[in-house]
Formats: sequence, C-alpha cells, structure tokens
Amino acid sequence: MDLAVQTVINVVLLGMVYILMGMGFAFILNLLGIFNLAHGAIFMSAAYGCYLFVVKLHFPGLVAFPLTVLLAAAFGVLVERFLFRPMKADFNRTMMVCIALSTILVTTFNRFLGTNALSIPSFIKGTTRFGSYPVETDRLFAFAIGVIILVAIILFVDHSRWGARMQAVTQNREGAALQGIRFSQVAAIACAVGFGLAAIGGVFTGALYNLTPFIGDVSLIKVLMLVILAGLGSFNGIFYVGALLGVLYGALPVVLNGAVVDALASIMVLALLVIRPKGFFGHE
Amino acid sequence: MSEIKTSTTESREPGEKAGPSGARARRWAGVSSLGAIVIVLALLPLAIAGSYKMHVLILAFVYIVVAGGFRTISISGQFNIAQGAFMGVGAYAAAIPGVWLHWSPWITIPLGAVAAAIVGSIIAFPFARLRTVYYAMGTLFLGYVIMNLITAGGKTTGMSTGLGGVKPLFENRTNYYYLGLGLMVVSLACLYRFEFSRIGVRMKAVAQSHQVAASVGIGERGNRILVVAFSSFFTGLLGAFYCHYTGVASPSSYGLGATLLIIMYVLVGGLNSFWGPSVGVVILLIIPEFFFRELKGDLPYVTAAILLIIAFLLPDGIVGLVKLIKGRVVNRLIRKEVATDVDGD
Repeated sequence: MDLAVQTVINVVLLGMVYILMGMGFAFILNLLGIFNLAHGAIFMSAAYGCYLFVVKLHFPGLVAFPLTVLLAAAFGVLVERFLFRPMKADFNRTMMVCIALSTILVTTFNRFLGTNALSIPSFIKGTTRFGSYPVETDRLFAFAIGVIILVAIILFVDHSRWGARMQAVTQNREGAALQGIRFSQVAAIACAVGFGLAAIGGVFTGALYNLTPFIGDVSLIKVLMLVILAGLGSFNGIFYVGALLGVLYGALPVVLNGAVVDALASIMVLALLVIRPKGFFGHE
Repeated sequence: MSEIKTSTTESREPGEKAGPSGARARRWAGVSSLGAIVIVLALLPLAIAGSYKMHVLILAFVYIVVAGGFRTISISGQFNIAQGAFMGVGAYAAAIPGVWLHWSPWITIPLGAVAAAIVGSIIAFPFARLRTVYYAMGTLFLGYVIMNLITAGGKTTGMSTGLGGVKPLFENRTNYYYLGLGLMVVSLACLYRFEFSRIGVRMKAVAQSHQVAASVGIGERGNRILVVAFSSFFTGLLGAFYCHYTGVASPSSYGLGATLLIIMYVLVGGLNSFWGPSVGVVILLIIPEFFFRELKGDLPYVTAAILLIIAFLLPDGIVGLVKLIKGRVVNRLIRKEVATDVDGD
C-alpha cells in the first residue's frame, strides 16, 4: 500500500513536470514557429540557478524558487528580443542561435559546477501523514504549486486578453496583425511564459530528483515526445499526454525494467508518427 | 511556418561570363585546386607522421563526409537531426560482427555502410510525411531512440559504456590516414555526382515546392527516401571506419551532442554550398585542434560566438561570404572593363 501511495505521487509529480515543460515548448513553437533546441538547456540552467541561490547564497528556498522563475522569464524576453526576433523565424538561423545558446549554457555549468549529480535542498523539511502513510511535505508542496500554476496557465490562455491574442496569433498571424495585435509583444510574452515554465519544471526536477548538466537533453527528449504525441497547436492535448507519460514513467517502472518502459514509450511515439503524424489531438 | 532554405539553383555569380569557354575555365580552376589540395593532403604524412595532428586529420576526414551527408539530405529540404545516430548504426553494425563473430574489418566496414543505408531507408519511409520543423523534431527524437535501442542490447552492444576491442585495420596510423583520405575523396565525389545529377535537381525541386514538383511528375516520398538512403550509406561507411580506427564503439560519440556538432560544422561552413561542410570542419575542428589546443575548455564559447556571428551576419556561412566577396570583385573588374571599352570608342 505504501508503494501504491508513493507511485501515485510519483505519477502526479512526473506528469506535472512534463506538462509544464511541454506547455513552455509548445508556446514558443506555436506562436513563434521556432523549434527551441535550447529548451532543455534553460530547464537545466534554472535548476542550477536555484541550486546556486540556495546553497551558495543561502537564500531560503521559498525566495530562490520564484526568483529563479522570474529571472528565467526575463531571460526569455531578452532572448526573444535579441536572438529570435532578428532571425525572422528563418529555420536555419534560429537553429544556429538555439545551438549556440544551449552550448554556452551547458558548457558554463559543466565547467564551473562539474558533472557530479547535485540536488537542491528541500524547501520544507519533514513529512506529512496522510492517514497512516507518510509523504514528504516537499512533494506535497511541489504538487500544490504545480496545480496552482497549471490552473493559472489555463485561465491565462482561455480567459485573459493576452491569452486571446496568443490564440489569435497561433491561428492566423496575418489576421491577428490586421486586428491590431502586435506580434512582437505576443512573442515576447510567449517566450517569457515558455522559459518561465521550463524553469519551474527544472527547479522541481532539481529539488525532487537529481541535478546533472545532462538533464537538459533528457528533458528535451521528453518534451519532444509530449509535443509529437499531443499534436501541434493543441494545448489540451498536452495535458492528456502529459498525464499519460506521467503514468508511463511514474508507474510502469515499478513492475517493468526502466529500459523497457523507455522502449515502449519510444515505439508508441514512432508508431504514432507513422499512423497519424498530426498527433493524437492535432487538427488541420 | 518557416521554410528551410536550400540551394535550389546553381547560382551564377553576378557578372560572371556565361558561355562554354567561361564554364570550362571555371571547371578547370576548380578541379586543379581540388587536385592540389588532395596532393598536399597525400604528402602531409611525410611531415606529421604519427603525430596528434594526423589523428585530428583522420577525424576531420570522417566528419567532412558525415557533415556532407547531412547537407545532402538537406538539399531535399529537410534537417536530419539523427545524423549522428546513422553514423552510430554504421559503427555498431561493423563492430558487433567484428567483435563477436571475428569477421574481417574489410567485410564489416562495407557491412556498416549497407546497414546504415537500409536502416536509413526504412526510417525515411514514415518520416517522408513530415516536413521542416516537424521533421527536425521527429528526427531528433529518432536519434535518441536509435541510440537507446543500441545501448539496450545488453552485452552484445556493451550497453552505455560502449563496445571495446574492435579489431584494428592496421598497426600504423599513416595507413589509417591514407584509407580515411581515400574514403573521403570517393564519398565526396559520389555525393557531388549525386547532387549535381538529374536526381539532385529533382531533390531541389521537391525542396522548393513539393506540390509543383508532384505536378510535373516528381514524387516527394520516393525522392526523399532515396536521398536519405544514399547519404546514410556514406555516413555509415565513415562511421564504421571511425569505430575501427578508435577501436571502440561508444554511444556518446553518436548521441545528440555529436549530431549538434555535425550540424554546427555544416551551418558555419554554409548549408547552401557543397563545400560548406568541409570548410566548417576545417574551421571548427582542424584549426582549433592544430593551433588553439590550450583553449580546450573555452572552445565551446568560441564556437558559439562564431555560430552567433554567422546567424546574424552571414546566413550562408563562410562559403557564402567567400562567394559574396568574389562576386563583388568580379563585378568591379567587369565595370572597369566596360569603362575602358567606352573610353576606347
């Protein structure tokens, strides 16, 4: 029973991290049409940034976390303004910029912090009892924050003015421009939200699991799985598929070998690419 | 969605003299300078036999062909981020029979090439439905899956530490050098013939507009499978050679990092020109390893800076810059000629 509770919590947390990452990536892909290869690097850098704030500068975790996310969002705005916008969505040039960005970030953390696995100290120590099952308070905290952020994102996309503008740009960029929506502003917000979400995912991963300079690559792969499965231009799809991947990677390793689970998930994605390249929830 | 730019027409430099005599002269100049480069490379072992520089040059031969293979796929308009994994397929297909069945390297190296071509064409079939950004995302994921499947092979593939004890071809590094040089020259010649043949023109038509191409009878799917199979043959060939040279097939040499390096070579050299990948390898691999070895740890920063400069100022890479300068010079010369003609009259 203990195992079951642990598994459920794992599933929920993993699914949430995937959804956060996937949303961030999809924001940038749908709005700017940019395949952000540096998304994994941002994820990794945010986790390291939070680690540095907590361990080296002795900030309390509850200050370091929002600070990291805000910095990441600000960085997103800068990247959009100075790296993405001048490229005019030209595929080759955005590719160069993303590779350069991710090279710089990965090399920096690799050189100055080494490749050893680190971990962000837990924000809140101790455990909370659920009936007779102890659960780490940190995980509950992460769960609560994650839920709040996801709800906020849904409200933002569906019910705010900026969300409506973003949807308009996603559907038809020229049409949106004719209605007086400034693309550069929407793009800046998309990048800020995208990078911010990646940072939240990164900090969660760093706090709940391990932190190495290579988590960026792994998470980029997971994000690609998510986006390919969900289909492009679909926000709802990301929720369903994130939950699916959470179950796959959170629950199945209890009964199966991790490599087998990975192979299963990969085959599922490739099979979907053959049968339905638009993804489960893609339209067009 | 953004389109991938490819060299769709054999662009003639502005002001260049048209006509058969000009074309022939240009061709002779090109062939003789290439011949000179090959002769210099062939004589180089006399000066640097057995040294580290020779090792760097052997690596460069491998990466020139692999990066050239990446560019060959890109003439059909697609960005293949599984290039490193195709190289890995060639390497493992050569290493496994060599280590476990004791086959001769002279059989396993061609086997690696054929295996990569077969795997490439099987994979290209479903992927022929994807384009641009989606193709890039799909192939990035694919590269991960291929390397995962290889490392999941247990003892046969040596798991994540790699498969050691691959039989060496020669005792002597100089022999590797000559074999690598030969493979590079032959592979580049084949890739060149492919690109500037009728088939290559079809690829470029597909890249420009698959609908228009289809309307004049050039199918998209078949051509795109063909180009992936053709390019992965040479990628696998050099991958197999590389693993026999180093004596180990390790997954880290063929993962996402390796692929991004290959893409950097191509983009820095210039995606739109045949010699772009070679120039990129010279700039990002040979020059740093020859002259700036003490920079080792900082080298990625230099590479990233070069990449940013290229992205902002020279989207066609270094070769594009050379073409630009050449075009200006030729233009100025012609203007002068015209001016003197007018004066003469």
